[in-house]
Amino acid sequence: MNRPYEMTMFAARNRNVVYEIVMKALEKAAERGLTRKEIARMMGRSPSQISTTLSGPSNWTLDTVSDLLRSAKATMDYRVIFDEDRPKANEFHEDGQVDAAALPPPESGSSAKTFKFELERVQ
Amino acid sequence: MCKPLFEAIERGRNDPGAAAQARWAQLEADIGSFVEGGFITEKVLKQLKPSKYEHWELISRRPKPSLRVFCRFAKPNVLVGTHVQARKELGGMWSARFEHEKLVCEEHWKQAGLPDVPAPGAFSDPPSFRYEAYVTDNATKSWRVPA
Repeated sequence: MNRPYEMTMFAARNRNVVYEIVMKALEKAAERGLTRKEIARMMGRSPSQISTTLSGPSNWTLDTVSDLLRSAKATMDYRVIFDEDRPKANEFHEDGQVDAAALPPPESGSSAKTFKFELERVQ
Repeated sequence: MCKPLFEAIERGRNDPGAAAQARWAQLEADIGSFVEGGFITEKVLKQLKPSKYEHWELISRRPKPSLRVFCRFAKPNVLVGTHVQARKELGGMWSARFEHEKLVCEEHWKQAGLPDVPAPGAFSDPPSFRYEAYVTDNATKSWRVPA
């Protein structure tokens, strides 16, 4: 039986969020002098392994997160947010409407199909 | 999101294979990272050359196969994804296939009733095409952790 799609997506999303948090911590530590070489030394890995690790979270484990944060001399606070309290992402709708006033003027002759943006960032 | 991209994700969502589902779930999560204001770098969202044509790719490398969502900005922070292709199908950066997909992106864009490129000066700032002109908050070209 397959793992439900929503569960898989939720896990992927969490990986991305954790990646961002850890990378921001490392950036902040880098301002105080932390380098990839130093991270490698503290984690007992080669600098090239660290570069691979920092390129994306796909193979990260909880230990990876812990080691990287330790390298940055940081810890993570955990906060649980229930779905109903989270900002909602938009969805595609066939009958969605463009906010025409917010767009640059269309070229003459272009079609006027309606659609809705999904990829607007939450500010 | 234009219809071809939406439909591709829907097909992935309904794929009977667990690996395929995981692949498309990751893509949806990567798109969600932009939508939810997550930190954006060129490792996730990159402007394709030549910049003046305003083509972008949203990059989702893992799990394999690596995927690319072709997209354009309608205004700062509003990205329209047109369609998605497997990276290995595209060939090298200037391959005929890659260039073709840029045109396909433009075609979907036009079909949605949008202008060819953002109006000059609307938000794009040629010749610099600064990253921050497109994603105004929580974005930079690259992570800054020195070697």
